[in-house]
Amino acid sequence: MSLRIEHIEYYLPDNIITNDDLVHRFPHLNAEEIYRTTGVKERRHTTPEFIMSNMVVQVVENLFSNLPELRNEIDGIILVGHGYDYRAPVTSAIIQYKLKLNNNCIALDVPHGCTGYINGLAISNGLLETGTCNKILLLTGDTPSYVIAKDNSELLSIFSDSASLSILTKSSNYCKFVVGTDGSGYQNLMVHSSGSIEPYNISDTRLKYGEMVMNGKEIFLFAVRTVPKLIADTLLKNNLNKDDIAYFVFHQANSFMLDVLRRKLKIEKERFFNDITFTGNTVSSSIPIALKTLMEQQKIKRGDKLLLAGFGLGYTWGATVIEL
Amino acid sequence: MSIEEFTTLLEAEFDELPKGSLTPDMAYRDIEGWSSMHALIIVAFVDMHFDLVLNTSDLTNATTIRDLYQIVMEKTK
Repeated sequence: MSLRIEHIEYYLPDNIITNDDLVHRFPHLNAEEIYRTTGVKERRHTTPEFIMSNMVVQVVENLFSNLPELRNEIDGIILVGHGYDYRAPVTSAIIQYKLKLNNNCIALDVPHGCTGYINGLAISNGLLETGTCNKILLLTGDTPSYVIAKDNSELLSIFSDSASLSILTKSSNYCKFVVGTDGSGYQNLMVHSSGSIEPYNISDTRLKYGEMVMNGKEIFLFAVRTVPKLIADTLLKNNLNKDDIAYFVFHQANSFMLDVLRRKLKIEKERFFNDITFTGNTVSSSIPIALKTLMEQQKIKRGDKLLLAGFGLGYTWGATVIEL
Repeated sequence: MSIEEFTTLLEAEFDELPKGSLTPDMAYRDIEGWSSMHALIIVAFVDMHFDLVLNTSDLTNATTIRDLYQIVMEKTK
């Protein structure tokens, strides 16, 4: 048994930051250069009040308003991302309450980023396969704008706030996962002053929840070293060839990096999603946003085999093949 | 690896370059559309073929493809 994505939706905040806005703030930048090196023209920032759980609840309520029967059918809620409401309890429990979901429902927080959606799918797959759950609400949500210093033009150019939902049920399709972790790279993309080991430094008034730092060169090298093998291993484990895949949908980190990976993997542009022009890097929501976009553009259809892959902070990585 | 082979393999990393357009004595920053991201392609190329991670000063000290090649050869002796 395996999983099927019944519904997929996403939320982006209304507040748009254009490349011209960035150039206005950082006069040494050039709008065209930002687009050329990142692939981003617009990114979204939420407000300080409309936190990650608000975005997540909003995207689910939008779906429930059209499909009210879903509210009683969900027996698992998995919330992937960072920016939880409290250190305890799990925010997924609070969301279960806010959404008035069934009490016979497991609630799990999964604090992962770029690989988060794949990890959420892998956990869901296990819960569905063992019969623990029949219908899972997989949520992603991130507010990177809360942890980027106001003078960090590199990170501000890339990241966006966002949320997504996927409704998952059992199926008899593919869906074998390849996953990995190498914590030795944790310092190359992390949020400082955000936890017990390094509590928030109150003298730094710039950021309330910590400060994101990224070593772009090391992250790039990690991706180039790891992803080609991840894709080969995932195809092998699912007993498929590259030609069996209708579309390759990777974590949308940076258009430039994705194009390097695509060329290394020798995948045609027509079967490889690479578009963060109007979304930016939406962390754990980037794969569901890409899937929804491809559905809306009718580039993928039910029955298509899709290879999904996430990779990034941790370092962590993971991939699977799903049949839409 | 010879300088010619190094140049040919590096050229293949830049999708937009016509075959034969990169030469050993070409200043690599003169590659059309050059940006800091292209420097990452070079770093990844050297990492993959020589198991060596170039640092910023290596790239700063190199002007031509030949300079890069010599730095790599020196460091992997």
